[in-house]
Amino acid sequence: MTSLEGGGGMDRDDEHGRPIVLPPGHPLSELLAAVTAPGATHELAGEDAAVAAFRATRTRTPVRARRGSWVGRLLTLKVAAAAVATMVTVGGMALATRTGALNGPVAPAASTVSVDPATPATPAPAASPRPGPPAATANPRRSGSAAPSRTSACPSARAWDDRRRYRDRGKRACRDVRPSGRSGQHSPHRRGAYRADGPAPGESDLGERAVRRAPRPALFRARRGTADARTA
Amino acid sequence: MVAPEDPDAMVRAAQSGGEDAFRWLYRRQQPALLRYLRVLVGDDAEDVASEAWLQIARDLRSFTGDWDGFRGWTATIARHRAMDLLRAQRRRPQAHAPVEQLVQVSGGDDTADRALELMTTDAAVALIASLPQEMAEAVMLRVVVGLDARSTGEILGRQPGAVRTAAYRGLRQLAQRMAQPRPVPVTSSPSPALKEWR
Repeated sequence: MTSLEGGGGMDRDDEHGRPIVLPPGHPLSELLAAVTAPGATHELAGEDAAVAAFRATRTRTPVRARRGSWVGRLLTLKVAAAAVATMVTVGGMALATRTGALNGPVAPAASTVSVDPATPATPAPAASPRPGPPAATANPRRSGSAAPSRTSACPSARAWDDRRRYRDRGKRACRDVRPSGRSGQHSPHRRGAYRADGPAPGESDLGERAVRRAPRPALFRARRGTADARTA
Repeated sequence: MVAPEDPDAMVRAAQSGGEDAFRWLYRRQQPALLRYLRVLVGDDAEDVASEAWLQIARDLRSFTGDWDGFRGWTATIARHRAMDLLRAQRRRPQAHAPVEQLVQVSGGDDTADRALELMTTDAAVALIASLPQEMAEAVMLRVVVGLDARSTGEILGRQPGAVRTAAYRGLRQLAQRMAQPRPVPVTSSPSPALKEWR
């Protein structure tokens, strides 16, 4: 006689948070009325203590919260700025090294050779990855462009050669960075001045190119590259 | 008891520092929290409720929500403090009044109707506390605190469907016990409300 599912009194499938409602006369209605009765006096005995705690936190909280948030915000800003600077520097150099972009758009003495990274992939066999300066012959691998017909004969061999070429270029780019630390002057327009009092004759223009190209991070290099392309 | 004030507005006023609003919230919510805590920790309910209100007063500014959310939030705090106490005492909670005593209080040698009329709040809470843990908590949070199934499930870490089922079964068991004219033939050991909790 008291089954809850009998009268359909309790909304068992309440989906929207409606209170559980029992029909009048249900055996549980008295119990639920008792358990939801208004608070007795002894149940509210802690009211003053709770209000006192509320008052205390209200007078104390704002100053402490504001100071903490100010310091925290400043610290967060510093850490974020340092992280961004590190990422730009390291990431930019890594990216430039990997893509060989450190070679820059500046054409060296042999102006017929493009240093655009896309160009060496074209099957122009005469376009050695880097113009062979006199001293470059010291490296027998880089003078390997003397056999262009072999690489262009087979596409796969050519692709492999391109990869190696890029890798070598990346190595060279890394090496180029090193001597550049002394001089921040890398404008192509000053090239003549460097010629005048620059590297020793035995160094060839490899070092000169390094001085000319290396020191800028990739972030700035890209912009400079476009400017140079326009001026050229 | 019908308050003309808007409960949501009271919550906002208390959050902005209104002392009267906070007092109003306390009077509205404290009885439900205290009865819920009686199911969890028995005679320690008053102490746990005091701790819970200290935290409520401290963290009210960071609370976001309306009156419904406030009820669920306070119930969550109260339950956490109760669990802290039980963990510190390394004990399992027990219903503070055996069912036999409840039946004596409510029924005596009279009829069931007479027993229902005499039922007090404490006796009703004790009867609910004699249910298995999940049923007792589901009934208290749904019926007494007035939360919906979803909020209750969030507090208890259960799905809303499981909460509905637990509340339903708990109320059915209570109805069966209330319907019996004579003292309920229960075992001598009261079943703890949080029997499964460790």
